[in-house]
Amino acid sequence: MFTRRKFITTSSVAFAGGATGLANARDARGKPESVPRQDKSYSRSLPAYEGLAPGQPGRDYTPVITPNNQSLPWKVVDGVKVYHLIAEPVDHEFAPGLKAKCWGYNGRVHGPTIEAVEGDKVRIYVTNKLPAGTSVHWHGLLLPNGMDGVAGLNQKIIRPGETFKYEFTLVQHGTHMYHSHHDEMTQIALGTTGPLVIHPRNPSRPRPDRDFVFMLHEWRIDVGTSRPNPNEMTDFNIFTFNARSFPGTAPMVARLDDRMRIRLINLGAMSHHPIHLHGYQFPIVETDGGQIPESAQQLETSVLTAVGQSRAFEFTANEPGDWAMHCHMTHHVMNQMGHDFPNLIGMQAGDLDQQIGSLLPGYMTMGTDGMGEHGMHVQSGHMQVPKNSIPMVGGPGPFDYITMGGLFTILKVRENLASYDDPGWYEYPQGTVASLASDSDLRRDGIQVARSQP
Amino acid sequence: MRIDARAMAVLLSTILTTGCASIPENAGFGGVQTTVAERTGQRVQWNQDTDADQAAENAVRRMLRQPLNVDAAAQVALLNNRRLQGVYEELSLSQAGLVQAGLLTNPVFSTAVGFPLDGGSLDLSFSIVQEFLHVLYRPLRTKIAGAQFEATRLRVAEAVIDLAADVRGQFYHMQADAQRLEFLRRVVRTTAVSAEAARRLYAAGNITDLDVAREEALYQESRLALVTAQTRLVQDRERLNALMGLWGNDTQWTIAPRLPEMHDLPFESANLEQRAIEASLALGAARKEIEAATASLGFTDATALIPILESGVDAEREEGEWEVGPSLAFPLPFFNQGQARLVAARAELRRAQQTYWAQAVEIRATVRALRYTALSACNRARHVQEVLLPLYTRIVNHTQLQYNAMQIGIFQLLQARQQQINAGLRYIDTLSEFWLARVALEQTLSGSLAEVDPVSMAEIPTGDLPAISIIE
Repeated sequence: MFTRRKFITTSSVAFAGGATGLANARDARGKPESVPRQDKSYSRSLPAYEGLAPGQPGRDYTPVITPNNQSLPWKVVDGVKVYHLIAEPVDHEFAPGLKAKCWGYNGRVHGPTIEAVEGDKVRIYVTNKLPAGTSVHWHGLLLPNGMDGVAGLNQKIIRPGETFKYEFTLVQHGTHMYHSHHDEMTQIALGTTGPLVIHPRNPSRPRPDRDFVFMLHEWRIDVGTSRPNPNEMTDFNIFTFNARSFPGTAPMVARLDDRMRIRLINLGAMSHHPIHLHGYQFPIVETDGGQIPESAQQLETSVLTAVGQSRAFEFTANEPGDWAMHCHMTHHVMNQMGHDFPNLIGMQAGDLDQQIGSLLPGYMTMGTDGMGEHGMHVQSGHMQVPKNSIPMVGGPGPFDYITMGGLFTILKVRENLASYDDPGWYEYPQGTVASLASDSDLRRDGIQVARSQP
Repeated sequence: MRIDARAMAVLLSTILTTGCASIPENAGFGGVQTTVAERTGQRVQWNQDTDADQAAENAVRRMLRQPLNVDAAAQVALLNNRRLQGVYEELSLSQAGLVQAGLLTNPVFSTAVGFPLDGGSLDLSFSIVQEFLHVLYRPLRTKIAGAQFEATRLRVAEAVIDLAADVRGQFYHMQADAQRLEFLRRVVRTTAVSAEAARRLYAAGNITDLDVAREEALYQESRLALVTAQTRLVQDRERLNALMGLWGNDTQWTIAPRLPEMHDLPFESANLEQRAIEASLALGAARKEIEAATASLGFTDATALIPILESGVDAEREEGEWEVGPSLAFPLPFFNQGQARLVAARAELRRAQQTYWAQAVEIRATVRALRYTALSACNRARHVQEVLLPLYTRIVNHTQLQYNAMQIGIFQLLQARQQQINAGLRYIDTLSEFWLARVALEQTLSGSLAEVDPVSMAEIPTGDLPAISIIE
C-alpha cells in the first residue's frame, strides 16, 4: 500500500527526470535553469519565480485587447490567482443578422481571454453547465501531467454540474489557448475554446502600446439554421476573428506610432489561415513554442497560422489609414457561401428572368458576373433571404460596398485620437485616393483605351 | 241430331273473350319515366315517331349550345342515345309476351265423314277441341308473364340509370383530364426554362454536354406527357360523344375544364346499405323473376302429371240426327310423369333465389366499399389541398429564399416548383377519385344521392378513417 510519503517520493523522482530533460531543452533558448519543487499543486514552481507577487496589469504588463471579447476577471487568494471558467451554452451573434446556439464559457463565445504573468500561480475552477461532460486542456502550457486536461487520460470527465479545480504555476510566457479536451470535435466546433495569454515577467522587448489577440475559427452554420454543425469536415461557411465575421468584426484602433502586437491563435477544425495585414511589414516574434530569436526573424506581410498554433507579430503603427487585415484564403472571406449551385459566370440571362418570373415571381438570375453584388441585393431589402442568415460578402464602406466577409477586419491608425473608440472611416488627404483617370491624364501619358460598345 | 247452337255459342264466346287482350299503349314506359324522374330528376323519351320526338331533339340541341355540365350531359344521353332507344323495345317484346300469355291457343276443329258400308246417308262428325288446361292455367300464365314484364320494366329503368352513370363518370374523367392538362402545361413551361437555362450555361462554358442533355431530356419527357394527356382528353371526349349519341356538328359542345370542388359528403346515412337494397332496380327485377319462377313452378307442378289435357265438344250426326256430347282425352302417365321438367323448374327457382341473395350481398359490399372510397378520396383530396399544397408552396418560397442566399441553383428552384405542380396533379387524382366513387355510389343506389342525408365536410369525424394514417 502506498503511503503518502512514498507516493511523493516516487512521483518526485519520476518528475525530476522529466524536468531535467526539459530544463536542458530550455537552456538552449536562454531560459534560467531550474529544478522543480516537490509541491503537489504547484509542482512546476521554479526557484526563479519564488517570492514574486502575482503580476498586475499596468505594473507588470499591458493588458491584451480581445476585439469583440474581453479578459476573464480574477482575484488573488493567498498569492494565487483564482479564475472561474463556466462552460455553458451561449446564444452568440456572429455578425448582425446571424445568431447561433453555441457552447462557450462565461456567457461568451469564445471564452474570455485568460491573462496572467509568467511565474503566477494560478487556480482555475471549471464548472460544467453544458449538457455533456467536458474538460479543459491548457494548450501549449508546460505543466504537471495531471493538470493537462485530457479527459479520460489525465483526469476524469467533468460531468454536467461538477466543478473541477486546476492548479499550476506558469513557467513560460507567450500566446496560448484553452479548449475542451473531451469530444473535441463537437465541443470545439461549437465554440469551447479561448485565448490564454501569459505576459513575460521580464520582457526582453519594449512593452506594446496596443496588444491584440485574435482567435481564428471556422464553423458550419447552414443558411436558415441557428446551430453550428459539428459534423462538417470540409465545407465550412463561417470564418471568424474572435467568433465574429465581417462586417461583425470590431476594428483594431491605434494611435500613430503605437507599438503594436497582434497575436493570432487558430483553433478551427480543419483550416489553416494565412492572415495578411495591409500596409506593413513585420517580424513574427513569437510562436506558441516561445520567442523567436531576433536573428531568426524575417519580415513578413502574411502570417500562416495552422490549426492548434499561435503566432504573434509586432510593428509600429506608423502609417495612418484604414488597413485591412484578413485571411488570404479567398473562401475564408465569404459568409455562408453555398457551393451547391452551378457556375453562372458569363451566362447570358437575357429574357430568362421573365420566363422564369412567370413561374416564380420575384426570380432574378444572380452570379453571372460574380458574387460582389449579392450583399447589396440582400441588404437593400429587395432580395429576401432565409431568416438568420447573412449575405456572402460584406458591408458598406466609405466609398463603396466592401465585398469581403468572414476573416476580415480593419486596423485603424490615426494621428489624433481622443480615445481608442472606433474613429469611423479614415479621412484621406486630398489627392491620395485612387480615382477615375481623367481624359487629360490619359492623353498626357499616352494611354489608349478602346471605347467599349454599350 | 240437333246442335245446341246456343250452348256452342256460349262456349265459343267464353273462349274467345278470355283469349283476346288489347295491347296497352306505351308498353309501361310511363312507369320507366316515373322511376327515372324520381330517382335522377331526369327525363326520358321513347321516340315513337310522335311530336314528342321533335321536342326532345330540340331540348338536346338547346343543351348542346351551352357549356355542358354533368347533368346536362346525362340528359342529352338519355334523350339521344339510340342504344337506349333500342333497349326500350324490350318493353314491347316483354309486353307482347304478356299479351301472348293471356291468349288461349286456338281451338282445333276437326271433322270426319263416315261412309256406311251398308249404304245409307253419310255419317258426318265435327269436333272443336280446345286445350283445356291452357284455359285453366291462363291466370297463372298471365301472372308469370306479368312478373316478367315488371322485371323488364325495372331492367329498362336500370339501363337508363346505368347510362346516366356512365355519362357522369365519363364526364368527370374528361374534366379531370382537362384539368391535368393545365398542370402539365405548367410542368412543360418549368422544364422548358430549365432546359433553356442549361443551354445558356452551356454556352457560357460552365456545364457539360451531359448536364445539358439531362435537362433537355426532362423537357422532352414532359412534352411527351403533355401530348399523351391531350390524347387521353380526345379519347374521353369521343367516349362522351358515343354515350350522348352525338356526331357531326353536334360534337362541338364544351365543358368547364376543371372538376368541381367537393361541396358535400352525403354518405353518412347509417342505413345506406338498406337503402341500396331497397332502391336497387336490378334486385327489383330479380325479385320479379323469382316471382315468375315460383309461379311457373306451380304451373309446372300442375301440368307435370297431365301435360296435355284436351277438352272439346264432339258433335256427331248419326243417322241424320246430330248428337252433341263432350269428349275427353288425356295421356296416361305411364312413362313420362313430368319429373324432369319439375326438377328443372325447381332448380331454376333455387338458382334465381341464390343469385338474388348473392346480388344483395354484393350490393351491400359495393356500397360500403364505394362509401369508403369516396370518403377516403375526399379526405386525401383535402389532405393534398389543405396540407400538402401549402407545404409545397412553403417549400417553393423557402427554396427561393435559399436561392436568393445563393445556397442552391436555378435547377433546384425549378424542381421545387415542379414538385408543387405535381402535388396539384395529385389533388386532381384524388378529386376525380372522389367524384367517380360518388357517381358509382349513386349508380348503386339507383339514383341521386341528393336525398341521402347530406353531411357537411366539417362534421366528418376523423376517426371515421382509421386506415388512413396520413390524415392529421
